[in-house]
Amino acid sequence: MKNILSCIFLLSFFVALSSSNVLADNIIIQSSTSLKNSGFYRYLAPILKQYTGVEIRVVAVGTGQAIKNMKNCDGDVLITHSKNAELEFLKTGYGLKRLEFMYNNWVIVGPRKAKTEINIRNHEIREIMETIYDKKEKFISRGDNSGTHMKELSLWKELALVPEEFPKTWYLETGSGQGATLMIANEIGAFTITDTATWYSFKNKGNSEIFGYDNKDLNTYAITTVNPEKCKNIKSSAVEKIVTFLKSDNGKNTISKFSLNNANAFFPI
Amino acid sequence: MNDISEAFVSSLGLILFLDAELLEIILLSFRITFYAVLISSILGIPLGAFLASTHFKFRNSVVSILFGMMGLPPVVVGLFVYLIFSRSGSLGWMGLLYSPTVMIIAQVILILPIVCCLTFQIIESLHTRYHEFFRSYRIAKLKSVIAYIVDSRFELTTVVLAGIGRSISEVGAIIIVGGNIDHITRVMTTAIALETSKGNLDLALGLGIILLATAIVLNSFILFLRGKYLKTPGSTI
Repeated sequence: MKNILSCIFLLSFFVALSSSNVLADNIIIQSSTSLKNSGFYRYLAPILKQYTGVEIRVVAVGTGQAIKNMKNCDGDVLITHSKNAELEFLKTGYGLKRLEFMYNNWVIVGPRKAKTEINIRNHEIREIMETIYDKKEKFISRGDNSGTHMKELSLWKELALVPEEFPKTWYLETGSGQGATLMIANEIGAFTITDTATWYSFKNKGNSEIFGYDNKDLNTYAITTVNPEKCKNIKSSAVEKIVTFLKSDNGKNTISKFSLNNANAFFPI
Repeated sequence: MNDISEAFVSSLGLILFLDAELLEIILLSFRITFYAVLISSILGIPLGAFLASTHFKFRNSVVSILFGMMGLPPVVVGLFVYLIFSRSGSLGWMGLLYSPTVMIIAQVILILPIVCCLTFQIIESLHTRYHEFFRSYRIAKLKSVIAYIVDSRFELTTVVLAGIGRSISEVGAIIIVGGNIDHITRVMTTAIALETSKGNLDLALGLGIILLATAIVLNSFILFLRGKYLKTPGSTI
């Protein structure tokens, strides 16, 4: 009897724990991983709640997968950083409108000792990548169809090089998220591409450092809303509030105040 | 090496200054494990016992499939459950994706075969010993199955513990269907995955130490209950 009672007690304890939080306005953001890993959403969520009353729930996957999930209507809005993929999403009729709202810079990071060994003096991302190709230095690709991966592929394309043909002796694909890829690059002393916010927030830098920036293109984050005709479940009015806030002076101020290691992580547009 | 010692320091810090957020993550882990194991046991133990004590045409194939399912890769289960509960999936209208409920569903799929098969193995040996006895007294099938379960309840605690172990340490399935959303679907294992991807190795390992500690506490509690049962006499057979 006693044992039955204790079981009932335990059960009720767990049921009490499971009280679901009923929330008036919450939206699911399908997002690129970098924004979550840098702590941006953690910073943004309470501010958004305060000014718009909307609570955000973030699912951080690569840009490619975020778009795929959005096509399945598993979310309310898309925040990603690959212009071509976003425009493609608009073209398929799923996307309604795409608004660029902030940016930062693309960087290439690599092992500190390589700076003297392979004599990289220039600081432009494309030139460094060309040197890596010439010298067959180890380079790590995300290989996961994320925004950063798409950017890397477009850089090789600009150099008229085809990564599919690179020997696997120096060109390695991790197929993992940005953090895991940086960790592997750091561990085996390889080069990889990332953005400034992710790099500032990444704690396990070890022997790696920034080698150069992309001086031509910015890493632009856009918020893309979804066509309610394709996805009936989306909460358009709450999404609209978020978009309006991000583009308002108040929102821009909020974005520019987010800093990592005393440096601005993102710049509002 | 440095990271490992730092991990102990940070886990100690995490436990000492137990903040609401960490507590929330731990409690959600417990909640999901509790329901997943509870549902798996309610379904799996009778099913395992039934399979062990019954002979029908395709019994062996059913059992082989179940034993094979013990090794289901969590990521595949996660993907499968995701596709079903996605808005474009067949059960998408329920709007359950990225909720603790769907995480429990995914875990039940993972744990049910384990509970079922381990129960099968325990009860089968009982059945070979006692089925003549039951037959000679013309005891109904249902009654004998119940007797098997009640009689092997101590062995069955190990089955439940195996289920808990699988459930609380699982990450591949629940990160896909839960989405690792802050305050909503973040559990200990997905938090560890996130901190690892941020490069916070000490914090990730610290969380891992807490996961291990809570699992040990949970298991000792169940073993303690079992010990109390063992002292009280009264077996059905």
